[in-house]
Amino acid sequence: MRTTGKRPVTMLLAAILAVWTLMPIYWILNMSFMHNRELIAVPTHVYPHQPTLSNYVRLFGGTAAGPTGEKLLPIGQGPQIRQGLVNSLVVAAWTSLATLLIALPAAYCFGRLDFRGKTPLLFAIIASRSYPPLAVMIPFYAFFQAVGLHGTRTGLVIINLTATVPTVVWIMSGYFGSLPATLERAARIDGLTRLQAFTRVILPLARPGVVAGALLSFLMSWNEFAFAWVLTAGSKAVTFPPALSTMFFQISWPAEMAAASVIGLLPAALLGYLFQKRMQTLNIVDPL
Amino acid sequence: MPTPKAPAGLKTATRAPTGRSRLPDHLYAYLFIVPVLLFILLLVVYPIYYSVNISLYDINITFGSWKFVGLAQYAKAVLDPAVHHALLITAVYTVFVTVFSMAIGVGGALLLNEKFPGRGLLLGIVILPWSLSTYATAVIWRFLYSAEVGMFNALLRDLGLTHQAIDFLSARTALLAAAVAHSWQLAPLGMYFMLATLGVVPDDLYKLAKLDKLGAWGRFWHVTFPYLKLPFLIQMVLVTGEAARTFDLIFFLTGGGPGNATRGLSQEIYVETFQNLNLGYGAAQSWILVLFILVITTAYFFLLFGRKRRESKGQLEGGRA
Repeated sequence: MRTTGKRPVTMLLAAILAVWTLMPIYWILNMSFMHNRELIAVPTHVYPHQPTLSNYVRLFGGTAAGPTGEKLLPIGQGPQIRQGLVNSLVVAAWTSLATLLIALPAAYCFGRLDFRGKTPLLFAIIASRSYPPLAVMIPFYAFFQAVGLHGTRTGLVIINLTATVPTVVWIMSGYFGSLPATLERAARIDGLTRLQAFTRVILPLARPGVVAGALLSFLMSWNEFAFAWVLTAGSKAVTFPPALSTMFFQISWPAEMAAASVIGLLPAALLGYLFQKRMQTLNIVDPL
Repeated sequence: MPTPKAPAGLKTATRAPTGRSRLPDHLYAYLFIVPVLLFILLLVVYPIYYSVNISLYDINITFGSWKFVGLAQYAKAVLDPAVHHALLITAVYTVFVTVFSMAIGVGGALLLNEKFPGRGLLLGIVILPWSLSTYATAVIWRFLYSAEVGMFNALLRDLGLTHQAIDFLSARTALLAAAVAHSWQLAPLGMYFMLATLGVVPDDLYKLAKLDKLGAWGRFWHVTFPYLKLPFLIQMVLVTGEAARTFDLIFFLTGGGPGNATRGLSQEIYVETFQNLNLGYGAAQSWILVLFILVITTAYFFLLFGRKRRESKGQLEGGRA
């Protein structure tokens, strides 16, 4: 880190970066706490003059008082949004767990062991992420129809794994590689096998990295739209993004739409913030 | 205050096996890695094979008929004006997004590498757009661009700068508007990548550069950038891939319109596959998109590293020691 004499310029640039980053998020938050009629006020209300939780309450099936005290009914798309939230949560939790089970042992091998073909194997795993999802949408659609996984949460977990496993193998390889080797060596001298050393010594040691991998796979699953839309829209397994999209393309009021979007982006922002704090200890850029 | 640590390289870990073990290391490695590879083979390679396969057929869903046509779908795509238009849109969009998000990324990383009050807070904040999905980004920016409830139009009007709402998502500007929104979301990851390696640039190098009377640009290009090359390339490959195959963002922001002003290859594939149900033709188009991404990615690699790839990698690792 460097210091320069140009303090005011630095502060100005920092302020611009902060505004650029936060302004869009602030605007949708602002809208979500307004009644619809306040959205079109002139001059514009840059904060809610009559702040209300009515959009949120009505999304969750309650009734609320309108701007003039009249009774507002629950929002029609509320049930599908709530069902989407539950499904998204379940799918993301299973994705996260399964990703760790599959990816961690492999990442450990890439990070700590030397063997023939290590670099090409790791790159093969990473490269499997580079095809466009649209290219494999039809095969998955056909395959899932055939085996009865279409419109199920299990199917979506499997799809999500194709994205999360390579990513977590990639970031965790670098992390395992950067852990001190002495403890593991001591464990091996004490007579533990590789497997025992991995589960009893390395995994506890690697907890910050494991948490980061879990957060990232949860986040990726939570945010996935395209597959969820093709495979679960209109079914019982519909996740939050397709549910929101249905609301978006039906007739919906901007303030209500804003509130529904905020519900989806708050968990993402929280996960992103938690992941960011751990990201600095991961060696994402160059794990080999 | 969180400080970025220099990425630890090979040197910190000794991988030589010492303890007693029932299995040799390389067998352990294969034992753990083979399941992952099998999984990928099944869930990635098989669908890819399937998709290549259907691109060789003319499929009629209604009658369930599959007619083998060889490379005819590809030939059709190469001659199709709609595909030409889509490819052009995708190319322009990719250039916009890459330039914007790399500029924001490098700028943000250089800024966050300085010491200033509130730096730790800003570092925590800048990641937020990255954590949001592309569809959420599109919804957010649609509310910024909107003529009725949009922030930009509201501010412009209240400041007395405009009397009529500007249509940011008009045919002329929609692609640019979408690229700005996408860059907002993609840039933060690059900032983080580059910040990690900026931390290891030795201060002495800057002092030497000042003695050599290098200007700000000279210092950036000759001192800083060699350290940034690897994260820069990785971010550029990621950003290009995301921009070229973007689907959600356009789908939510403009739906490909107005007209076909933002109808890139992904939108074209989506319409052919899921609306017109031309499965084979959609698949052929998606492999043209894969080729497009591959060509750009390879070009970057050669542009940035060329034959000096080995030396610059050595230099990066030397910088960490």
